[in-house]
Amino acid sequence: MKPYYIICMVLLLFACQKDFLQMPISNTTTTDSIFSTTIKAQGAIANAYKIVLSQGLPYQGNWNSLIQDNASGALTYGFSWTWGYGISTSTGLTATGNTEDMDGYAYNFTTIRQAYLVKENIDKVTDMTDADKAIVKAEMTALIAYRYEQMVIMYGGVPIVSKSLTVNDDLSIPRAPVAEVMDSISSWCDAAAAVLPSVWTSTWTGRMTKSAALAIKAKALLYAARPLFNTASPYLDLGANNNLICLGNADAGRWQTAVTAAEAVIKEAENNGGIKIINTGNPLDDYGTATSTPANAEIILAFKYDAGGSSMNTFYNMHNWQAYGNGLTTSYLENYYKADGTDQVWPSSSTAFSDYITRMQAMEPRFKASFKAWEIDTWNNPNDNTWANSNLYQWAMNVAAVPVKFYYKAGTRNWFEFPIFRLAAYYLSAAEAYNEMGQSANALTKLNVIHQRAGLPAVTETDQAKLRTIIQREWAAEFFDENYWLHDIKHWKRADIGNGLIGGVIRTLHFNSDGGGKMTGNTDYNDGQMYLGFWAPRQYLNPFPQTEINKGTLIQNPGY
Amino acid sequence: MRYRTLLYMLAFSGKVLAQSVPDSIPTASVSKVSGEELYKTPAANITNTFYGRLPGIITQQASGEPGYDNANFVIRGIGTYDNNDLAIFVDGFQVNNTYFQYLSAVEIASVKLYKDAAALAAFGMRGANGVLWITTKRGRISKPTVQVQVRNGVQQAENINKPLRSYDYARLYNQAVSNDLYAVNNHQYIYTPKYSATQLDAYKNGTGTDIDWFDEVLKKNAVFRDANITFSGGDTSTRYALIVDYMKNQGLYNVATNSTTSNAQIQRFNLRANLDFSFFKIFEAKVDLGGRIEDRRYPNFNGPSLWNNMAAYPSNIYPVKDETGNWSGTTVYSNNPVASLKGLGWASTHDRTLQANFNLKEKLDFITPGLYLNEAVSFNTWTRNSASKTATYARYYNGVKTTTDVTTDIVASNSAPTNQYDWKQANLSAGYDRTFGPHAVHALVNYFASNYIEDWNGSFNGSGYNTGNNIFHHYTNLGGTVDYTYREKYMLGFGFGYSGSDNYAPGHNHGFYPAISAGWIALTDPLYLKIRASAGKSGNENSLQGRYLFQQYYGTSTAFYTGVTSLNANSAIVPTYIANPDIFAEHSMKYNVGFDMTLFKKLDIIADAYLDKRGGIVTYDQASYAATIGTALMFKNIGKMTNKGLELTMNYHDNWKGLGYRVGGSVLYHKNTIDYQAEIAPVNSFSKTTGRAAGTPMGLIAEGFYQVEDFNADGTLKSGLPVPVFGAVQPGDIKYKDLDNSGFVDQNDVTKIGKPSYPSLYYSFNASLDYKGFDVSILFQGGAGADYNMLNATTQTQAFVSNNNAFPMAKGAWAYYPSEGIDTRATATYPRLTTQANRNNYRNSTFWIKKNNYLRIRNIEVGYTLPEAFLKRAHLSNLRLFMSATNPVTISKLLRDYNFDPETPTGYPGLKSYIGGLSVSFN
Repeated sequence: MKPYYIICMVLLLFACQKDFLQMPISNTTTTDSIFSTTIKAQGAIANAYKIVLSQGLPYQGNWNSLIQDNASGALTYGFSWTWGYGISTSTGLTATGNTEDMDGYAYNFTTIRQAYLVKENIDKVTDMTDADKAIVKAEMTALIAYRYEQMVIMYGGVPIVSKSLTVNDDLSIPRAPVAEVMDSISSWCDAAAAVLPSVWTSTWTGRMTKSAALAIKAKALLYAARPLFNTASPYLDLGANNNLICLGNADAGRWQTAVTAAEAVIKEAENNGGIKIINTGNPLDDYGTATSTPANAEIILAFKYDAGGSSMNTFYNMHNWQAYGNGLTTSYLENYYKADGTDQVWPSSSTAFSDYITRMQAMEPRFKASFKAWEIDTWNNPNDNTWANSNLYQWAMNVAAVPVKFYYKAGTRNWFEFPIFRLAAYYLSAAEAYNEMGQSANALTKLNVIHQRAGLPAVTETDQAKLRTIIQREWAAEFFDENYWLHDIKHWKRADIGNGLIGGVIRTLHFNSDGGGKMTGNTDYNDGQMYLGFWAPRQYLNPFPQTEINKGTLIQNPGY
Repeated sequence: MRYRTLLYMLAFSGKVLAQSVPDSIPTASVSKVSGEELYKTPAANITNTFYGRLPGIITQQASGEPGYDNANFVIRGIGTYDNNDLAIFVDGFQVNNTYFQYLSAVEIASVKLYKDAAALAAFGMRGANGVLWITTKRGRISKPTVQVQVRNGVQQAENINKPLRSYDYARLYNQAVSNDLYAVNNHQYIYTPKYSATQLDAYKNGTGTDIDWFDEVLKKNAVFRDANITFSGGDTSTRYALIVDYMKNQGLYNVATNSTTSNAQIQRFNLRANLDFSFFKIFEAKVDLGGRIEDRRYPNFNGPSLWNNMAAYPSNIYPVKDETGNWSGTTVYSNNPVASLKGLGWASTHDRTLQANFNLKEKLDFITPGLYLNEAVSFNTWTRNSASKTATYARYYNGVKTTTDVTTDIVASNSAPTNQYDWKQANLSAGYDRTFGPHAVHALVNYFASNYIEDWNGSFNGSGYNTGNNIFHHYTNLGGTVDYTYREKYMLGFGFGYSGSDNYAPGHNHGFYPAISAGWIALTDPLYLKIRASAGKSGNENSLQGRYLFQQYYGTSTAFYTGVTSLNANSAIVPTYIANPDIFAEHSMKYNVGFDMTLFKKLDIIADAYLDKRGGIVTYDQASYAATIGTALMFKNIGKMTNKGLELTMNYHDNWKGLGYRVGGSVLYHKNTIDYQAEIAPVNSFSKTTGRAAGTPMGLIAEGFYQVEDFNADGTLKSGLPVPVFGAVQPGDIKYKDLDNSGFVDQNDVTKIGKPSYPSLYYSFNASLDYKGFDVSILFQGGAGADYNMLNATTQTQAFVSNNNAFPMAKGAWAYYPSEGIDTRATATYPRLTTQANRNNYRNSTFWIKKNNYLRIRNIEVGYTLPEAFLKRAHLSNLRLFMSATNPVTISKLLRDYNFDPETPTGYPGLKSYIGGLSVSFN
């Protein structure tokens, strides 16, 4: 045998290596396969819906999750290990950790990119009609608009991304002015609404509709008209960059825009979308159904995720100890009326517990559909042992009541569908805008649709300032735990935000000489301080994470 | 070409021999230990015989649980923050740790450790973490020889840290519950005990429940037994070594091994047949069969959980059996440790392993003197079957059934396959060894191909997408070394590896790894001195970040729903990390200088200094992209590390009037730095982990405890004191430094709080004597420069938290109840007790970091070899009796102060053993 034979053999082996070192094949999904068929593309579409609509919700079920009302002063701050604790009590919002955007600022762009990915690739699907593809693209456009609408309310101006970016793209996109973000949202929504269906077949109910696209736009425009953005001088000065945190001028005309948008939602929803304000004359049932029943007639868009057994509901469903971090404060309780439309008063000195029962029983139906009071079987699941006093008790604590909203006549259903948009919001949006425009009659018409549905006597107040207070109180009573209040009070620039709303003395009801409310055998109660809330004006808008600022492109919001 | 075709070709080429590195590279840094040396430490797992015996390797002891007692190896310190696993070869073929760990020391002729670039060059992409090169025993030309060795003895726990007994537990629990009412009691400490004085008295005088769970579950001594027979011999044409070895190692559990219960146990049956044939002058063939059966049996309860329960279940919770004679149990403490042994049945695994190698060498001196070829193949296969006999038991407390569990009869399950791997390798070599005049040349070129398949994700099939079940891992390497020596004085070496891996994109999956080295024998007699230097590149394709990072994958995620009444689940598909088409293996540049010195043929000194510069470490690039990219990011070859160190080994041996003696020792000092790891710049630069050693513990700086004077009447901290953000604090909680003076103690105050857990100084020394047939030897091994984070031993450090037990360190807790005569404010060594999770106290800080230096006596052996005259009469060639003690003594501050073993502080403890044995040979 000759040496060159060996050499040839080795070279031959090398020639074969090309195949030998080929990656093994498996059933893992790759880029080539993801947009091949409708079935597979639906996975990408579902993911876009899931992650875009998850904004502000504890859908991951993390141990330290925050629900928005933990930070708004409506509910207690959660536990000492949850996000809400630091925000509410010690450091407030910070650029180095404490923010209400639990999934992180960067995750917003993950959700937006997913929507763009679908939009850009849906044409590759071979077994879908062009009309259907157009609808999918419109859905994705609406989802992008939704996420931006949520972001602009939290952060002010944010970078506008117009496609799915890759590592080779220039990623140093600066923050766009608030006005530009608002304009983009409006035009995206208009474009989507032109293509989206008014209703889906029952299998696909829950996807974006024309009403939903208009609702996104109307919500954005309402916040554009409110005082925080609708001004030339923002809450804190950012000099040349003031346009990142406000619209740069005060323009009363923005209320007209907001009203038009809200009326458009109502018109489309009621005329074509099969959506209505549920009012059968039975307030507890009507309001309970509207907020709790999956896919009920008042829902424009919901986060239909929890049914699969996620742990999101553990923060809302009082059968779980996690939810026990969320007790009602007196400060928020006072937004509810008595059933007769008058105000309830809570004693600040020690009073017999029977008085608590009496006062609680006198509350309006919306309160009863949303809370469970001490020692009283849950009003919203009457005669259901699952929801009886004894079955919801976890431990003693000093809170006015515990929330059971989203579980009206839920029985053993432990999951719920978070209502992102309910038609009622657009009645109140319109009412608020009409009042700001000085049209109290129009405002009252819209307001009373909601107020009277709750079984309360009609509001007749015509003084603009007084009516403004009433409308704001209506937002609180109607939309508890639906992720409005925290941003509403900031965007209204409420004077008392640092003195009883978010900051300052936050009150609760104390039981049994401060020993906490018990399942049975409570003796006395009184209203008093629970904790001192933290407030600083910088918190009107959220901070961008310091690590992101350090990358050099973004301008931080003032005060952080 | 598919692998099968490759083998087909190989079979038909019909002329070869193998070994991918020459027997010795004169310029390389290699250390060595013989199988006989390893045999001196009686241990079930071969990794536990390495302590202090092989210079350059750091052996870190882990659990002592029979069958799961593998020690961790690191060569020359931490080279990368990615995978540090070294490559192990047995008889020229790569094996995984599953195969290696239960080799018997009797099978091993020698273990070599390849450390520097000159030694590792030919290993290419699998060389960067060092190579352990094992050669098994072969027959020599001799009369047939039979050696029989028997060892028998006991194993004991090195150390068990026992919790407090009922009295101390209850007494301190009273403090803990009282402390927790501080806020409720208007920020005052008011004593509100849970256990009354009567109850405490009952615990004290022994009438209350007071169970020592460790005593109930364990026995003192466990069986270790090992017997083997070696037949060897041969002539010029045929040589053989046949080895049979049986080992049985039982656990410390006090339970019988019978049809319904089982102690922890492994029985190992090793059989090795190494055969050599020489024929037709040019052929040399080797057939090596290394087969093994491992039978493991355990109580049907997870071992680590059982050890945790013994530590975590307080002494006073319940008696072992309740008054009705049933096993005690409650919903909180549901797994009665004794019942876990005796009431659940047992589980077993049955492992079968075979490494079969065939090797053919052709000496082609007829073509040109010194030329040879070598072809070899290896088939290595392992399967595991599992079977069990299981039962459940009802839990009772005070005569009442507490859980839904019921007592059932024992049920047998079928034996079912649970895991396997299959590893086929081929090796083709051409070599040339020749000396002419003053020139000596050794050259070897080698082509290696490997196909590895396993059922589950393991060390060679990585994590991530498209791995695991039945996914192969293909690898090829063309390696070579050339050594040239001039006048037996000047040496030059060149080595290379050209490796390909299917981990990387086609067209981009090969790397070239060259190395050069030089040596100079400066002096020969009486002082021998060789100076060596080497520099070269090697790679590491075995990343923890996963394989196929060049391929864009989509993962599945939870569903989003549509629909009205009947909901329609639409499962979501999510893009994963961005594919990086350029992803490749991490590389290492290694530099080594050293010398080998011998004085008067009595003193040997080997010294080495090394530098290992790693680059291209596969790293998730979180630093480079703005959030706007909106996707999981890319893995890139961007990480960098520097590891450097010194090694020194000295041995001295001499005789004095028939007394032979030998002393020696070795030291390894290493230090590493992460140079780049794509760390997102933290808010404060002192929080950076880049620039520090890998694994440096980060945390807050503790400054003693809060005192009563630090608080206002309303429970808030006095102004001027930084506020911790981890929940409300109260007197007795740990106080931290606000490093950035922000007014808050938060994650931004985190900085380096100690040293990594690996000892930076690893050393051993030994001494032996022999006189007239008697021999004595002792081996010490120690480590220094490491720190231990006590929070890693949650059960032992977080007293009472989440129904946990309390350990003696809780006795030092801060407490202030003057009414009870309790005031430890000035002397406290532990934060105030609590029954609740406390994010302020139980978080990484200097408070919990303790120095972890230790020195162990690893082995003492006393032996007696019978005199030759006697042996002749008994027709024996050798008979030796011996006794040995393994790990009998440990000196450690962590052990002294906290009763924590320095290497195995939690779970199944490390073992010490006392063994007697005998070795007989005849021919």
